[in-house]
Amino acid sequence: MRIVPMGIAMMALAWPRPIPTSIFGVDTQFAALAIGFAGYWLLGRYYEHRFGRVEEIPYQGISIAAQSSMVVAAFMIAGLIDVVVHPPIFVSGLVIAAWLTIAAWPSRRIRGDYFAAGIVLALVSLEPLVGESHAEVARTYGFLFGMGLFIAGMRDHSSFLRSFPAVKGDDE
Amino acid sequence: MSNQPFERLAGLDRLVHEPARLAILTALSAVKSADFLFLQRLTGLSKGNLSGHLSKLEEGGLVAIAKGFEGKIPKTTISMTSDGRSQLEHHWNDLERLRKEATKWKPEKGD
Repeated sequence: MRIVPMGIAMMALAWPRPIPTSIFGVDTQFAALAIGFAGYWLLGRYYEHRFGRVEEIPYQGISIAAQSSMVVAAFMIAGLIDVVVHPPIFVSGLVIAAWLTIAAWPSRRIRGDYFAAGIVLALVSLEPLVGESHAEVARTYGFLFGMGLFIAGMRDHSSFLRSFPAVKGDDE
Repeated sequence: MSNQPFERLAGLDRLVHEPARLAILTALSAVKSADFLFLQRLTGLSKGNLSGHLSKLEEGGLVAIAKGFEGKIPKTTISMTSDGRSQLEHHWNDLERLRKEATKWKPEKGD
């Protein structure tokens, strides 16, 4: 559920109606992202406190931190290409879509809805080819991605809870 | 046909085959390491029970236990040793093979 606040923040930012550029003097985009990241961190602490901590086995020998860094680096480079080169497709959107699709690869035993989300977002990233403006595509993409994060976060949380037996008293 | 699958089933390594320990080992095999609380929540065992099983697994060389502090809070992290991983894999392979052999088994005349 850690990604749910980020999903809500992204949906709020991409909401079709115009939203105020600042709230109490703070830039709205910055505030939404800060709330999303703070929620991610706080929920992480909650999960650790309630369910304990595990360290995953690195996939193909690459640690989770290294994988995340590679995705962030690729996203930043793609964003730069979108802003500077103005290509006929939404490149940073394609990077996220590719990441979701790779993350859902069967060998990683991650659910197929990540794969479906990756395909949908990849198609949205190609919308500029049919004449949609980059700004409108980015807004649609942001909203769909936020909604995907929200749904995936809620589903992950319920399947996570189902994997634990009911809490018992100590040394019963 | 001999009763060999049944003899082998009865002679499985109890250190690994005991239900709580098998649950602990199987959970640990899917991760690099896990803390005590996670294993307790996942298996539903009490602190005392989990602690006892982990001690036996550590004595058998199947898991490694690292005790430390995070700030002022004690933290126990458990991971499987390479010997533990190979023994668990061997155990599950044995169980699958024995199940197949046992389902094919028919008593011989005179048994």
